[in-house]
Amino acid sequence: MDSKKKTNLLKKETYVLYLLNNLSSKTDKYRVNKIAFLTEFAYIYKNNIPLSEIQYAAIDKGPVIDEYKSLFKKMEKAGKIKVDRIYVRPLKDADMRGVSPAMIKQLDELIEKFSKFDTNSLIALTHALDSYIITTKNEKVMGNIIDKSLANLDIYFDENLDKYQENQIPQNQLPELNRGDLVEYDSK
Amino acid sequence: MILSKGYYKVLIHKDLQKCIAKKKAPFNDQYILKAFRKKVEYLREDCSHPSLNFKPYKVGERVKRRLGVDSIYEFYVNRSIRCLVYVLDDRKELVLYHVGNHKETKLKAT
Repeated sequence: MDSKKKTNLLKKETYVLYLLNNLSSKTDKYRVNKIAFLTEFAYIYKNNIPLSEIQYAAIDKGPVIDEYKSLFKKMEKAGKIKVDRIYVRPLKDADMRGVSPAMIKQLDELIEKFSKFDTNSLIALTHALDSYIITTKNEKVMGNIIDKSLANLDIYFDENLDKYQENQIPQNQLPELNRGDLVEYDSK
Repeated sequence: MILSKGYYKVLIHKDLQKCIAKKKAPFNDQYILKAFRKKVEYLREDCSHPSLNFKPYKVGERVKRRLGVDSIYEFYVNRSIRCLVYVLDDRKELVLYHVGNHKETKLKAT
């Protein structure tokens, strides 16, 4: 990932508020967390740079915004959002001045894509991503921060994978099988 | 399940195994290595796991006979790195033969 471009990261509150501005008014905290994660990781996959200052923790419920409860509380106190039981709604528009139109366009497309999933599908999807599985060591270790570089492994985000797969190794270059060259795979 | 059901033993070309053990490229990247190990686990358990994108190679029967395999598949480690898998149905073996970039056609294992 290109760390030199980190200066243009969206602030945590700006990113959450922008998501809420673009989601239905009946958005619960689970959806905000999942869509924030998926949108950012899909963005990293495509651009190789992070989108926001948010870190994501891998917990049993999947990836969530690290310390999201205190972030929401702070935003509510500042009059930016209203938290009503599990529901979160925006009270202001996110200040996106200084954010490039190209970045906003990508962001909008990703938010639209993931907002079409119901919450259970979002949860299932995030649990199946390699970034989550690797961080939790197969769902055995919870609470670690997901390294954003792991987004590059989440080939789910790749819309061109089928095109790559058409590009197979030419038949005449495939190596012959020589049993003397084979050993049992060592998984350690 | 894409392959016939049942346990498939996973074999690997010795050069590829050495490459992994010595953490040579692309396995010098710890995440590539972790992802590769994870994907081989999936392969053992269920090769239709969505994370693998396990797809068959389009090759003729004559080529398969020449190579001594029943079928050829590949899975993706990340967006650009793929692993070639030879399938030997009678022996119930999956052979990991080559890991490389999708643009790369020069094979280390030859």
